[in-house]
Amino acid sequence: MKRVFSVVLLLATVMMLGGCYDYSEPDEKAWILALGLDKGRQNVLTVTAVIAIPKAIAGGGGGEPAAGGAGGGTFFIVSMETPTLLSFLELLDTVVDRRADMSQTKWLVCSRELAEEGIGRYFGPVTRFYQFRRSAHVVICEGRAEDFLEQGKPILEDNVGKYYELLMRGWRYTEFIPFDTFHFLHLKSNTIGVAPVAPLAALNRKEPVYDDNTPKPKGAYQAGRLPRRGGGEIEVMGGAAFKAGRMVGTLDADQVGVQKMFFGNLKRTIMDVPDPEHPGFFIIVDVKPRYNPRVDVRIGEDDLPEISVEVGLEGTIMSIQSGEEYETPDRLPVLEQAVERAYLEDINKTVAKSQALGADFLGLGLHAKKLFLTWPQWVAYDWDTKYPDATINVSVDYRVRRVGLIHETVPLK
Amino acid sequence: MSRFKPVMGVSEGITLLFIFISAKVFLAHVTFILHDGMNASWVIPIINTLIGLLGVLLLVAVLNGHPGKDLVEIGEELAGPYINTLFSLFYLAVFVIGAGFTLRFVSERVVAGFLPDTPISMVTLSFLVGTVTVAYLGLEAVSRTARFLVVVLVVSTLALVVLTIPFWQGHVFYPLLGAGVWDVLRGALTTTGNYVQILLLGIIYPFLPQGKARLVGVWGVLIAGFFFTILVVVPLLIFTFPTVTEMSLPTFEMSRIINIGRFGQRMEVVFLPIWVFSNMIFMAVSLYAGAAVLARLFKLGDYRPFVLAVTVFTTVMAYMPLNSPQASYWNHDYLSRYSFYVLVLIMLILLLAARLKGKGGAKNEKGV
Repeated sequence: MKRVFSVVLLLATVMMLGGCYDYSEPDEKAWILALGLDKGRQNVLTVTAVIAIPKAIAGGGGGEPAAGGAGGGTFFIVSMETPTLLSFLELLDTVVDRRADMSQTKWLVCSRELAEEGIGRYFGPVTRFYQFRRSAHVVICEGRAEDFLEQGKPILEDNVGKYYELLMRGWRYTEFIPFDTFHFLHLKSNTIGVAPVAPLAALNRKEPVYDDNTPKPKGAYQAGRLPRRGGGEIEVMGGAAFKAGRMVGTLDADQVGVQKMFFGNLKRTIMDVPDPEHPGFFIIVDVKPRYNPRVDVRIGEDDLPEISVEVGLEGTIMSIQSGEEYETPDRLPVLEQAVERAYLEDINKTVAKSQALGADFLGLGLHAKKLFLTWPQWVAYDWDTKYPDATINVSVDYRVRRVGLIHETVPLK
Repeated sequence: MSRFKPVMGVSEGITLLFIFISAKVFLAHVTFILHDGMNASWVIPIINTLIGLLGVLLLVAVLNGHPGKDLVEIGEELAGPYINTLFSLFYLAVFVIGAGFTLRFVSERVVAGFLPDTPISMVTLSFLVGTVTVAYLGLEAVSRTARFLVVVLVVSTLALVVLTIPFWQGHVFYPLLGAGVWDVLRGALTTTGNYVQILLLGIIYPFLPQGKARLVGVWGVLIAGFFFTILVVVPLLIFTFPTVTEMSLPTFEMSRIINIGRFGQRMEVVFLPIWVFSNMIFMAVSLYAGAAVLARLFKLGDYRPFVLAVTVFTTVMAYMPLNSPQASYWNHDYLSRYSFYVLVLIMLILLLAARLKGKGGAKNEKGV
């Protein structure tokens, strides 16, 4: 019994040895909730950290609105000039009394300017660092990331980390926010036959975006070009397409929706469809995928891909502005065809954009690789070069399943 | 072997064997397989398992001819003391090299992922204290510890797999043949060493119920093969080729990526017991088996004086590589590649010697 006790005591003692070196109290850490990257002014990079003030979060912000800078809010900002992203962590320890820790980081924000030069060298290698998590989001912002993070204060949340997380979770409720986390962004960056799309974000633009009130599809907006007043300073809408670690263009909100649909990440969207019989009026329908797009790829005689895509959608009539009776079974096809035309236009524009950028962000190459027997054969085909010249035909099939709470519209008198 | 002859049930034997074979899947070994087969790497563990099964049948054929004796004693009887010394040194090398590199890997892993400021010597020490204690207490302690922990291991591993389903991507299986038929086959044939640990069956054979060695061997290899295969397929499904090849610890990354809402993140700590328990069992088995081989070699009845000696060998082996990548590559080059063929060669020599001497070889499971 004495021996057993001695062994147990020895084991317990040994297991506690780690505490002699890696003793770490959560309230002695500076939790970095977001990191911003800009082109440096005095060094290679300007790195900005959003650091939580836990006692303010626990106390509900002390009645103050969440604020950055030196304000009495729930986070503060530090920007420093550094040669690399991770060297910033050590520099931060000279400024912040608590040890900086990235393991709660939700956002890696990169300025568009830097993204267009290429961010592969900054973000790819960070996966090696144990504090970093692939579940973080890479966000591309218009303007400088340091301004974006400093002014991007939450309104509903005391915890800015929760704010970042919930804002990105919007991908479930709107087609306008890309789904890809760092994990998917990184995979798509490394794989042939697909290109990544990162969320595009910006601060609220105060001045008007458009000069007139002509109809504009809501999906034509993107971050930084969203006409609005009020709300938080940050808006996330649209995407930044990447190729070989470099941002090559932006996608508007509708194009992001199409991209998500091709990957099966589109839950539902609301479409404003021009009324085919009443110009100037809209039919508003709810649209959700019936099945993942069926993609058929073959290699033509000219060695170029010939791709046909079949998109199946279904949904509900939400509103008919004109009061036209489209709800009856014999009239529903008119409405369905109008939706199909509108959606097809969105898809064709997105496909054209993808080919113009030479970035297969729709992932059509992932279907094409099924045609090849071995990986070396697939690599040798050189999809990225052939994709811009591919022939792509898309067909859309939309079915109205429900008509909402109104059985038949009574026209206005 | 010791003052008391240990007793081991079939389920304990199977558990011990499959954990001993498959514990390495939680370390860097998978990465080499993923390099060899590209996106068709999942075929490699299946081929390896089939080859492992053949190896087990061969081993059982040798063992069944000599009931109550382990592989070292059988070698002594059939090949003579001099040749058998070479064979035994090979067995010892398998256990010591395997334990040494595993000790290094698992310590490096703890330092890399959990305790970055703790000296690796301290981590190594904490692993050694536990495993040496269990190994010193003998085969019964080792096998019952394994039997007790296997539920935690299997349930945690399956939970780890299931929780990553949202990240699976079906396109990874294409192009179907991956690196190509010959390259995949070459990958399989040059990683058969992953099953050299079937050697354990030859050491624990005298303690298994009579006539159950084949059952233990076949099930041990099949279950190990199952875990090998899913822990190659699942990282492939999640991280896709070629990204998956850049990871040093694919199963660790699997646990880090789990995301169940805002509060279901940072789950690697929940799965920490998988890596710690499986590798500690591996270490304890290796230390015991190494000591048992030495005891037989020196014709001593008690293995225990050799446990500390094997521990010293193991620790020296763990610190021979200058860094963690070197440990990975050395383990792959010296243990995972061709060691299985050496074992097969020894089995064939023993079978041939038995045939020539007219001893064993042709007997059935019950040794008659």
